[in-house]
Amino acid sequence: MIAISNLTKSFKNFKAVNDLNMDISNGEILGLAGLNGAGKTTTIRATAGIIFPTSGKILVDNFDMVENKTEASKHIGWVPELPNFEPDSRPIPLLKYYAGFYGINSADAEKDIVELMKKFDIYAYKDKKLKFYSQGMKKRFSLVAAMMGNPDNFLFDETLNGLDPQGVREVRDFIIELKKQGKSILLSSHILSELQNVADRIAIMKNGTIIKILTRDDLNHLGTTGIKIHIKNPDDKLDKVLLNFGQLEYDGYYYMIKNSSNVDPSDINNELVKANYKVDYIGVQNETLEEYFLNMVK
Amino acid sequence: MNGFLYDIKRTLSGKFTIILIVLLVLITVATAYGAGISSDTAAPAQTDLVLPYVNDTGGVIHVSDYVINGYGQPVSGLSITSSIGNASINTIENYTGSSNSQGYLNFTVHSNASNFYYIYTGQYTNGNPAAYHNNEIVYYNGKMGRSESYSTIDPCYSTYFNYSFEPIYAVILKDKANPSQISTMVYVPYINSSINNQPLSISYNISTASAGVNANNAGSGNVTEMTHPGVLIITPSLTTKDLDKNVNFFINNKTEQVVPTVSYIYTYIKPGVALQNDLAIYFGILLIPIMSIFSAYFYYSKDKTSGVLESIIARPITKGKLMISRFTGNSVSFLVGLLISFGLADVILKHYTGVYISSGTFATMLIGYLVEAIGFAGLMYLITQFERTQGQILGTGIGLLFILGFMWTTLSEALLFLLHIQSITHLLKNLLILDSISPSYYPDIIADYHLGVYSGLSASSVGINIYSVVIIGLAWVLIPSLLALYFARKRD
Repeated sequence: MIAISNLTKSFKNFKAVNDLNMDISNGEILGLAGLNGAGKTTTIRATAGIIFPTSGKILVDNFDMVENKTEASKHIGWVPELPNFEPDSRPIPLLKYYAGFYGINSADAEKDIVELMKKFDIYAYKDKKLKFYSQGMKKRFSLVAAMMGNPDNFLFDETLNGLDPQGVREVRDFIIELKKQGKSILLSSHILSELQNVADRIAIMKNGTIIKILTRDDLNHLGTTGIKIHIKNPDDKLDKVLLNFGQLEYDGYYYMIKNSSNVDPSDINNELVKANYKVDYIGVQNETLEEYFLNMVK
Repeated sequence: MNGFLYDIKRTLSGKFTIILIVLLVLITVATAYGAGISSDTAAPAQTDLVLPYVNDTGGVIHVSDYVINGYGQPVSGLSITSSIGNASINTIENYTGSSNSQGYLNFTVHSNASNFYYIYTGQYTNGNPAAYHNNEIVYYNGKMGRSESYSTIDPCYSTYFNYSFEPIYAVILKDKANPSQISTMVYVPYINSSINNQPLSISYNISTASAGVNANNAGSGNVTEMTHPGVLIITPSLTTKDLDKNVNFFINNKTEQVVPTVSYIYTYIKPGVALQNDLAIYFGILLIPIMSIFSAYFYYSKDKTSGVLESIIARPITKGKLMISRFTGNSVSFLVGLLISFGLADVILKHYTGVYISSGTFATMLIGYLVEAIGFAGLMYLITQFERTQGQILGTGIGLLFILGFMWTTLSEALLFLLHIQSITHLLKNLLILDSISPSYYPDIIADYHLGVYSGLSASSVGINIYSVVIIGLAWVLIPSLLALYFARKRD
C-alpha cells in the first residue's frame, strides 16, 4: 500500500509536484498519465526515496519514506525510466550486492537471481558487463533488480518505453501477475492504451498535481460521444445537411457530429440518402482515452 | 550483514582499491629502496684503519701503529709496509710487519734525525689495502703533524693535537646490530708514553655550537672509563633531533681535562627518516592528494553524478549511510594501502641498512598521510554535494590540488608579505597556521612534532605540540566529511 499526502517537491523556485495526494491499495494498479514535465517522474522518484520531498508525506506499507527510509525501501521496488547501473559490473555480482541490503545471503540471492534472470530472458547474458546491454536488456535487468527483496509495492516509470512488442507484452503480463499477487503498483506511461488495458485507475497529472482520477467505470464511459460519417460523393451542400444534427468537425476523411447524444444515426442516414449522398460509413464513436486526456491537459 | 557494512566490503574489494593499494605499494617500495641503498649500513664500507703514532726519544724513533676495524675492534695480522725517511727525502729504514693480537705493530728505528717523515701502507695478507687516506706523518722538531680530518673515508676519523702536539684520534664507529647507533672511539696513543697508564675518562654534550678547546662544560651523559690503554669508546645518545648539531667529547685524566675537545657534527639520518624525507618531496604535495581525489571520485562522486548511486539509494539504505559507507571504505583502503606500503618499506630498509623504521617515524608517516588522504577525500565528498557534473567535480578537485598543494606555500608567503610580518618567529608561526589550513602540509606538521624541530626552531616554541597536532588532524578527518554528510542528508 502506498499513501502519498500533500506531496510537494520544488527545485529552486519551480514546483515540480504541488500538493499531490494519491493512494494505491494492495492488488491495485494505478496508472499515471501526463504530458512531459507534468511531475510524474518526480512523484515516482520521491516515492522511491531517490529525492527528498519539499513537504508532504509518503508512506509505503505505513513506513515513512523520509523518516524511516530503510524500512520503507524494503517494501518498494523501482523500475526507472532510464536504468543506470554500474556499467562495468556483471549482472549476478551486482544483484547479489543489492540483495545484501535486504539481508539476503549470497547463496539464496544467487538462486533467486538466476530464476528471475531466466524469467526476464536475460540469463543468457549473465556474463556480459552491463555496459554491453541494450536499452531493452537494461529494462529487463532493471525489473529483476526491482524484484530483489520481493517488495509489496512497485513503481514503474515509463517502463514500456524502449521495449520491443514482445517485451511490452511480457512486462504487461508481469504487472498483471504482480497485481494478482496483491502488490500495489504505480505505472507511469505515455502509452495510454496500455494504461487503459491494465490500470484499475488512471491519475492524470498536470502542472505537478493530479487533475483527475479515472476509475475503470469512468474509462468505459469517457466524455461525450459523436457520430462518425464517411461520404463517397461529398459536395458543398453536405455541411448544411449535417449541421442540422449538431456541431460538425471534419478531419479530411471523416465527418464527426458532436453533442449528438439525442440524435439517432439512422435519421442522419435517411436524410443523407434522400439528398443523394452515398454513405460509406456511419456509426457512434466514443471519445478515446487519448482524446479525453488531451482535452484535460490542454 | 547490513547494507552499510556490505557497501564497505564491496568498496574495499573493488577494482580501484586494488589499483590504489598497488600504486601506493609500488611507489613506497621504490622510494624505500632508494633510501635504503643510499643510507648508512651496519657494515662500514671499508674495513680497517691504521692509526699511527710516532715519537722520537733521541736517537730512537718509536713507531706504534694501532689497527682497528669499523666497529673499533683491534685487528690482528694486518701487514703494514712502512718507510721512514729524513728531511732530504732519503730513506732511513723500510719496515714490514703485521699487527699483533692487540692490534698493534710496534717497532723502533735508530736514527738521530729530528725531522723525518713516516709513510705507511696497510694491507691484508691477501693483498687488499686497508683504509687510509693521507698515509704520511711528518715529525718536525718533536712535533707530530698530519692532515686533520678524513671524513671521506669509512670509517671516518679526525686527528687532533694537544698543546704538546701529541695526537688524539676520534673515529666514528658503527654498531654491528644497529647502524643508527653511532659510537665514537677516542684513541690517545701517547697514553702509553708521556702519561703512561694514567686512566682517562670521557664525557660528551650535544650543542648547536662547537664547545671549543677551553669549554668548561664537561658535558653530561654516558661516561666511559678507559678499558684498553689509550682507547675510550663512548656511545652518545643521539636522536634525529640532534641532526646537524655538534657532539663534543671531553677527555679527562684524574686531575684535568685533556685538551683538545673532540667534536663532530652529527649528520646521520636514520633510514626511516630518510624515507620520510624522500616521500615528503612528492608524496604529500602530489601523490596522496591525487590518489585521494581520484579515489573519492571513483568511490562516490562518479556514481552520484552519473545516477548509478540512485540504483543503490533505492535499496534499504539512506543517502547519509551510503555516503558514510563509501567514505569509510575509501579511508580504510588508504589505511590498508599505507600500512602495507610502509610495512614493506620497513622490510626493505631493514634488508639494506640493517635497521627498522622507528615506531615513532612509522606512526608519524602513517598518521600524516592517512589524515591528508582522508582530508582531501572529505573535501571531494563535500564538493560532490554541490557540483552536478563529473567534469565540475574533477576540475574542482584538481583546482584544490593546485591551491592547497603546489601553490600553498607561495600563497601563504604572499599573504604574509602583504601583512608586513617581519619577525622571523612571527613569520614562522603564521606560516604554520596557514600550513594547518591545507591537508597537504599535515604530514609535515606531524613530522615536525615528532622531530621537535620546525624550520630550525623548537617545534613547541611555535605551538606544535600534541594538542595542536591532534586537533588539526581531527579537524581534517572530521570537518569536511561531516559537512559532506550533512549536505548528503539534506540535498538531492
